[in-house]
Amino acid sequence: MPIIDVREVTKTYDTPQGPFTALRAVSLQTGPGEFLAVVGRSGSGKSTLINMITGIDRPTSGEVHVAGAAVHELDQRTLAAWRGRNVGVVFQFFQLLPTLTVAENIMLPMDFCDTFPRAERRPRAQALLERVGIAEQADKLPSALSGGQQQRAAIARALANDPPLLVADEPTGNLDSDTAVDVLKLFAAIATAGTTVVMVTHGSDAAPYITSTVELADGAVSAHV
Amino acid sequence: MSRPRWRKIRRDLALAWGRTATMIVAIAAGVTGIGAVLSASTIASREIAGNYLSTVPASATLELDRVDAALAEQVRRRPGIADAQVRTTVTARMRIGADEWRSLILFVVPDFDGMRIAKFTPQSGAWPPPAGTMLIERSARDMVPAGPVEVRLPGGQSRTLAVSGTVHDPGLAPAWQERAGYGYITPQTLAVPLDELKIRTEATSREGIEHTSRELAIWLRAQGRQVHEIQVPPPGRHPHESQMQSLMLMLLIFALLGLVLAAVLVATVIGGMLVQQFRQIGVMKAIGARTGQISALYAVQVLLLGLGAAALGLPLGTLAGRAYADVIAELLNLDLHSRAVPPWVYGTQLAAAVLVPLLVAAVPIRRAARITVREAISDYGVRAEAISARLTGLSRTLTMALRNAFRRRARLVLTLGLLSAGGALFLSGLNMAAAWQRTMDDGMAARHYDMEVRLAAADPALAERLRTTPGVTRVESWGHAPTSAGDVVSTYPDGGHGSFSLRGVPDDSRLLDLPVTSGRWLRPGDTDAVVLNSMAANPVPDAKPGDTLTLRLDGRATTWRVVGTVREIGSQAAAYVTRTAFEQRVGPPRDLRIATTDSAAVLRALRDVPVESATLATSELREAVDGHIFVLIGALIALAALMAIVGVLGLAAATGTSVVERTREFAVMQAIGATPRTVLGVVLGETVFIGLLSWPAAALLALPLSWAIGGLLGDLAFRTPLPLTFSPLALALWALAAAAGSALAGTAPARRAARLTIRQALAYV
Repeated sequence: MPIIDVREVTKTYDTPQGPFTALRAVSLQTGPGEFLAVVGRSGSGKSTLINMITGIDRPTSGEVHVAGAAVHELDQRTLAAWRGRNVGVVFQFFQLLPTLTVAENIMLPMDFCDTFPRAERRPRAQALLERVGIAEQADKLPSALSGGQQQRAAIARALANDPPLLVADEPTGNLDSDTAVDVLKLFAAIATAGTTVVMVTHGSDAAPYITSTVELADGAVSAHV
Repeated sequence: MSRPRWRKIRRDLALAWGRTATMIVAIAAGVTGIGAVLSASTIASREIAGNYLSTVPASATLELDRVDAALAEQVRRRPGIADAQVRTTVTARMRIGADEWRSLILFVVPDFDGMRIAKFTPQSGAWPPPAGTMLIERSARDMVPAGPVEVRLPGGQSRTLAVSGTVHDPGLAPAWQERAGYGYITPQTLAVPLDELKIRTEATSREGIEHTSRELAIWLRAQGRQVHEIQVPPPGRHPHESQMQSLMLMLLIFALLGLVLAAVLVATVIGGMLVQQFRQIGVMKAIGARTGQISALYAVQVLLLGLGAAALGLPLGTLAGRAYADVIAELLNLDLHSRAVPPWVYGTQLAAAVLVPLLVAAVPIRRAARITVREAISDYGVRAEAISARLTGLSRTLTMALRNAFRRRARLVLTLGLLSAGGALFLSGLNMAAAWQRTMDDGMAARHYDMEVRLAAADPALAERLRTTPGVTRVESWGHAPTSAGDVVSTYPDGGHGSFSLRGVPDDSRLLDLPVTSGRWLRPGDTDAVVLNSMAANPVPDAKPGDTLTLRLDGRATTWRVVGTVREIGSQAAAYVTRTAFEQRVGPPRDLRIATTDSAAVLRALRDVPVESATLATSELREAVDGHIFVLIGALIALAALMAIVGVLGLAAATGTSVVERTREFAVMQAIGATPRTVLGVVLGETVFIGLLSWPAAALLALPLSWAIGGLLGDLAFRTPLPLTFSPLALALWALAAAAGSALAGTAPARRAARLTIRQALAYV
């Protein structure tokens, strides 16, 4: 059974200049353990597609099934709880909460979703930080970390509730190329361990690590390899 | 507080410590106001009632021709009567200067040790006072000269009395406010016929007491006694109690408005903080937080602020309330037996501190918590806005400052509202003081006489003689007689509070000039026309021109026709009739109203004349009336200042928020060549602009507010609304406060903005 099953999704926005179609009848299937890259030019609909998968935005028509849930049918409240347990989100600008330490940032999803016994949360955060290679930064505030470290911490946070799916929107867009490669390697390792990873990117550095690529142009899938 | 989300709250509050402190101080100010008013009011209400009731005030006082202990004993056994005692009151005059006199109310008590009704307690001196001496009420201490006092009795004879000690009589309005001395003597000191029967009835309601008193009067008359007057003051209520309670109510309304103001401030600031956290909220939602969890997060934050404010405001409010209760006690001549504040007052303060901000902040919290991840992540903070684009032709910095003010319109409205409401309350407080002053001035201006002399007997020759006294410009003979609308009057034992009198006005009078509020003034030839003054609304409520009015004059019923009402300030209830009508129904007039520039000369001329009372009408009255109210005005001004502070704090907090929001923008400005000074100018310009905008808004808002409060206050004090008065001083003060306050409010955030380095600012998340 695929982790992601997007069927004929169309998304239209109303803009002052008239309706704008960001996605046109996009269909997509991804299985467990895949590392999928979504590529395309700026404005091709990459982020919109990602937002459909994570339930951050709703399709105008079509269906989105992720990790067994019909995402397009969930209400905001259910969606939040579902997302917390099933999707880890990594943003381009890391988006760690500035007033929490790195470890606390990672414990926050467990706190909100009440996923692990309270006593296990801190050790788990520490374990995740070790997995992403910044265990020694656990008790620092995000502002004390480099960009690459912050993105690793954000990835650790995305993994906090052990979701079957990790979604990253241009996670390397703000990093230098060496650091970017490290992050890509990390994603590949995560995918190998069984978590599906979907990553929006516009570079080609990712090629060696990914298992498949969807290319979007003007809101439609132009290639799927 | 161990879970990460609670740690986030704690650190967010600590990070924005300036705004956190502002909010705590603002709520604390509101809570302090409420607490002060409630504590003062509960203490004062409890103690005023306790003090008054401890004197066992008479339910009714019957003025007879004469009464003795044996009769009182008989009365005591009558049905419905709980107790009865005999006493008498003599309104005399005491000499306080060469030719200066002041009223002295002498209470003649047959049995100092056996007092059961209208008791007073010894404070110093022998008890009972030795013959030839008097005890005086402690609030009259400063009024009675030291050493032997020459006392002139109503008949004209003089006595010399020494003051042998003081008593505390909380059953009376304080002597210094009434501008009369209270003396307590035995019949050995003054052998006058006892003519007052004081009773306690089993009934406690006014109707019950009046009924029992009437029955008793019938019985007394059957025993061959004359009953001149039945006095039933409001049962169980100190002469100033209802006045005090209404004033407290008004202060409470002010304090409540202050709390609402503080709550709005919190909502504004929290709203600002939430806007700033939009992205963080989005991220938290993206990692699984539900709307409820986010709401709870920020609600707890507000709750903590409320608790912090309560911790600050509760003790401060209690302290202020106790201090104010002390002032009231001093004013009303009360002993505070306890300054305990009842637990419900603390409970109310706590609830106000915690619930009100929570309730008001619920709106922005709800809105922010419901934001979707997509909205949060794509919020750029810049919105289309059209108003400010029209602000052109100014320097670039100023243009930017003014346009900035319009960027978050909702916040501008709230901030402006906050500052304006604070200003409006401030203005209203000072307007009240001005309206009070103006009313007093108008009231005094309506009296063109300086002295009012009540002679023991009519003496037309004396009036002629006074006309030739140096300084005297006019002398008029007026009629004066106590009256009542029914057979029972509500006069207190001091004879002033609650009294009602009939005044005979000379046809050609030029000494009183009262504004007519309905109907007309008297005309020569009117024989049954009566014009009622403001305070007459107490004994004859709802009387209007055209009504027929029955007034009792020394027991006889007389019928009059109401032709008008007038506004009169600082006088007890009065019914004006022509002197001709007065002479027909009562007798020759005994009052002289004198306009003079040399009252001492008049007093000298009166030296050997039997005079019942001689008052320096204008100056003494002003002292007496002002004494009643300055405590209220003072409290209003204190609360007004508190409001102004909350308003300015609101502006400071809002500016702080908008500066934090625009950190990156300031960095960009500096990156393209702006100096720190430019940044400072932009921020300060924006706050001062808002401050100035608030000035007309506050003035407008103060209009209905002053009108409403003036109506309430005027009705309480004078039974006529205070005129809508704008204090120019207040307007100027508020303009100054708004400009200075807003500049002050902007300084800290502006400096912070100007100090940021470009790198810091651009890195700001």
